[in-house]
Amino acid sequence: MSKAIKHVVIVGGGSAGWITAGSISAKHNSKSKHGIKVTLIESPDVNAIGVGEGTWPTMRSTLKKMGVSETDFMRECDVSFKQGSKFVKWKTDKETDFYYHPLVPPQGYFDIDLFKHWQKNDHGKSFSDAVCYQEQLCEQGLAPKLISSPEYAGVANYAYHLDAGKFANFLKKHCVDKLGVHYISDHVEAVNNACLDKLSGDIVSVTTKNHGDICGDLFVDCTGFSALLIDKHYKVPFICKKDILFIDTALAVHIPYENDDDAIASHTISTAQKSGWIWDIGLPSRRGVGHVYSSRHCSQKQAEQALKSYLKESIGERSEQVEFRKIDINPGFREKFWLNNCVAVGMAAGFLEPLEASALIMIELAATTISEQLPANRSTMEIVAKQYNERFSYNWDRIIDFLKLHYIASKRDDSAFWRDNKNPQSIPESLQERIELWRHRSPTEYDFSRKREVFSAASYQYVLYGMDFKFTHDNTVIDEAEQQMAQRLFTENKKITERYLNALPSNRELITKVAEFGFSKV
Amino acid sequence: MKSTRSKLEIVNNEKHQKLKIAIDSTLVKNSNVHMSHVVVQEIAEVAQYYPIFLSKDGETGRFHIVALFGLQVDENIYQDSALWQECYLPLKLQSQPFYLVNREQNKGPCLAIDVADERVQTQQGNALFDNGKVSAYLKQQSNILAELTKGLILNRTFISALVEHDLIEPIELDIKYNNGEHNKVDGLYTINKTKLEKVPAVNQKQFEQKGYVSLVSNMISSLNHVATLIDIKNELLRTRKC
Ligand SMILES: Cc1cc2nc3c(=O)[nH]c(=O)nc-3n(C[C@H](O)[C@H](O)[C@H](O)COP(=O)(O)OP(=O)(O)OC[C@H]3O[C@@H](n4cnc5c(N)ncnc54)[C@H](O)[C@@H]3O)c2cc1C
Repeated sequence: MSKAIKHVVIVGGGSAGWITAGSISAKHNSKSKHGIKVTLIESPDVNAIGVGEGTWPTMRSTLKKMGVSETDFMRECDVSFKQGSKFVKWKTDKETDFYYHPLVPPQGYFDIDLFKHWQKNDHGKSFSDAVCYQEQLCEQGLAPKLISSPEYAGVANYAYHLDAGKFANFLKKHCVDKLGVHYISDHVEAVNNACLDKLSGDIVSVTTKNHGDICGDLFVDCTGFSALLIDKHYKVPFICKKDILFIDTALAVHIPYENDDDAIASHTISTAQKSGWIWDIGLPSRRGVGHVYSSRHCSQKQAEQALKSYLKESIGERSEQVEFRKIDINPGFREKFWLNNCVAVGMAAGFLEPLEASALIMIELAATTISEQLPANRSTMEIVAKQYNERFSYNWDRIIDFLKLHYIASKRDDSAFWRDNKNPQSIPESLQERIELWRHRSPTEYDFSRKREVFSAASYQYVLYGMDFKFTHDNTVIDEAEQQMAQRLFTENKKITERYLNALPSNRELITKVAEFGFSKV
Repeated sequence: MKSTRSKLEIVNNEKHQKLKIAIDSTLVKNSNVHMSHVVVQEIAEVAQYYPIFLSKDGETGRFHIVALFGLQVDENIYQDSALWQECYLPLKLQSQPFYLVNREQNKGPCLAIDVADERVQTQQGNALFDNGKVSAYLKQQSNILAELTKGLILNRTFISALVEHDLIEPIELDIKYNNGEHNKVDGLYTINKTKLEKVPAVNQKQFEQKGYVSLVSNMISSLNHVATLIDIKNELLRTRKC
């Protein structure tokens, strides 16, 4: 009989390591004698990356499934609410230019394509404002729920902004105290294979500096850019995507608020620059701001200057004194993620610019898939691995398409960076084909075949129509019933918008209340 | 409930020496009130007349214990059906139009009166003072308030225990009246009895000792009044009294 999978060893204790540990241990009852044993090894010598503050609503179910209390999480990880992204100066470089990608899908999303109707009688409202109430909530700095809403339940769909360092520590404590994860703080020095020919052999154990060899049945590589198992050991090739997504460098900084009660934006703000863009994320105690850019198109000095002048608008002369942390990023992903008894999750598996906060959601998806599909024994692992690789290659490709879409739907041509982005050579065929379709009809669920797509057609609609994507009218007559339905939905959206604007507290107000009273579970 | 335009003044034997509170006016005053806070000391009594739920405070999200008088906002079926004078009146309502306020720090709460309340006048009713001395009526009102204050503290401990053991669950009343009208009431919570039975033995014992078991069973059995309220409401609808 083939060997049963009883012990999962995770190497790396950043967000990827702990989300994976939490998901597997909660699902497989690791705290009981009969459950699957989960060990996490984290090097005290290598710091986790400590960035990655924007999430998707999936984070709510990820945390809930681990048995985390939303109140504790919010209090301990410096968490604020996120209701989408505001893209500033992406369409054109005009100061007033912006559009929203909210988290709530358009009204009647599954029944009707409101775009057509919006385009015909545009009442001076943006697409997202006409079809969704969330843009207004964000513009007014409102929270997505009430203090009387239960944990994880929202009035409007929401995700979080969080402090990555605090998040990893929080999950560590939860995983160790509540979920029975074994924690080893030690540096992995060697990876030991069953065969001389590594590629065909399983990993038997990893050798640590002070704790000797740690054996396991399945090894998860969560070592970030080091990619200790998948790269250093198995040498699985990395498929670089820099020819599609040019951004390869980040400058990051924390900006404290001036006053304790300064407003907290309830969305991520992404402001396009000449050779990249700037993220701006509001946590309760500080903002996290950074400039990601293409080093081929601009020097570090220019990038720093752009970031300083961005900061100057909010913090004035203080912006001259800030020090940036530089992080090199290499866009792309592994040819395979799961090889033999090793699977890579997080930055060890791949990395793309954080334009749509796709990293943590991919980690959640990976962790969920691994724990739900966890093979019972070694012989079924091959099948699971094959499906996993297929599925995640597909996911990475789709995310790349979606990120690239932002650059080609943009009308900017004021610098080489934007012009190069529109070069057909840099656009994946899969995206070119879909764009061709979308010139004549809206993105729909038909365009995306998988059960758990990372970005739905609604997201594509918001980005395309937010940037006035050129659309050729089809001349089909719209029947009256559909027109009436559309009008009803527009009116309904207006009504809901008004109701929520009146009922919801500000983001800061609710976060302060969470600190004081907390949410109740029900 | 406090009227929306209340004007609280600390009770003072000079300023308020002539004030009287109209007798038996509390029911009329609350005829549009659909719920009231109740406290643990009175739950056994309250449960004989009203369904008791938990509901959340809009400002803090914390749970309160409430007795329900109507099945929608501003509805008081007890008053509408003239049954109310037969019923026990929760302390919160009995104490009106008096309140305890903390005006100065470290001085403890002071007795205050809402002079904007229409029950307050100088013609007839219970006087606050007899020849400048605190009347028996005023003494009684301040005793009620003291009991209420104590109750709110006891409520907190009781509710914390319920929350800690995950015993509270939302309940939605989905009512269809005989005339076809539909009414959904949400924002109400109750106690899950099966979960209570699963509370570990040590805690069970504490629950027993603190009297929580009987509080819970009173609260659960009080829910039978919902059916009665629906019956009365059906009758009222039939005779078009509401
Ligand atoms: C500029 C920037 C912005 C980002 N913004 C977002 C965002 O908004 N949203 C989002 O979802 N994501 C974002 N990300 C991505 C996100 O930060 C990462 O995907 C996430 O933090 C997961 O990282 P990780 O756990 O894979 O790696 P890391 O955090 O690097 O963790 C690696 C771990 O491996 C351990 N390790 C390494 N070597 C060894 C060894 N030899 N032995 C033992 N342990 C070892 C380290 O100690 C560490 O614990 C951003 C990334 C960057 C660079």
